[in-house]
Amino acid sequence: MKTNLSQVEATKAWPWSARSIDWLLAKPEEREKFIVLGDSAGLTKEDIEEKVRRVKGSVQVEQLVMTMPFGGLEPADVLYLMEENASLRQEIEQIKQKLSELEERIPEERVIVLKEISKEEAKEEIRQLFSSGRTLYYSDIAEELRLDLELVVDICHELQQSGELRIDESALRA
Amino acid sequence: MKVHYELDDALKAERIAVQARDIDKPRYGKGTHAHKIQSTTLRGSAFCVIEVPLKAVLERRQ
Repeated sequence: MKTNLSQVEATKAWPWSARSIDWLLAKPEEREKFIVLGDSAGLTKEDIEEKVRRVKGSVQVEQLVMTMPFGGLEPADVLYLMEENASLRQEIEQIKQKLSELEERIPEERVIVLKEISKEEAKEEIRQLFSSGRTLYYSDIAEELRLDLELVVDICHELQQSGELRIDESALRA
Repeated sequence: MKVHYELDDALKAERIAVQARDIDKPRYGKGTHAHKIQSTTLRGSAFCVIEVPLKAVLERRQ
């Protein structure tokens, strides 16, 4: 679509402002003093900018309607569909947010394949784990070494009896 | 270590490690005051132990 901007301006420009009439009546050498930046045919700079904005807006809406695949619909229907679309998008965002909140609450599932090793091998691995000086619970050991919990408890008791491990009292108080 | 096999035996502690063939999804509820409470059920070869923090005994060189 082509918009004839000059037509719009011409119809809205009448009646001319007194300033414009003065300009026309003035001698050619005196006309310069009437020229102000932004003045045009009796319209102020703001008027022109406002008209340009309105024309651009109507062109954009028309282009939007033309590109939509339902050309047979009334503008009111199109507006209704656009509003409906916006509200649906908002609802989807809300659902996404709720879903992510729920996912955070679900405990993480991890598959740990237990190692099938002899008790002596497991004992050696536990010794090595404690050699770093860390304080560990049964569950920490079972998880890190992928060992059966019952086996870990059994070995830890043996290591306690042999004096290699002790209960960390400071961790108990914390 | 005492192992309890009898029905109705219970464990009560701040930290218990558990292991079983099947563990139900946690159920969320409201405990006393403002505390949240979760519960679940272990099924099949369930094993629970009250955890203790363990540390290596370092040998002192003289």
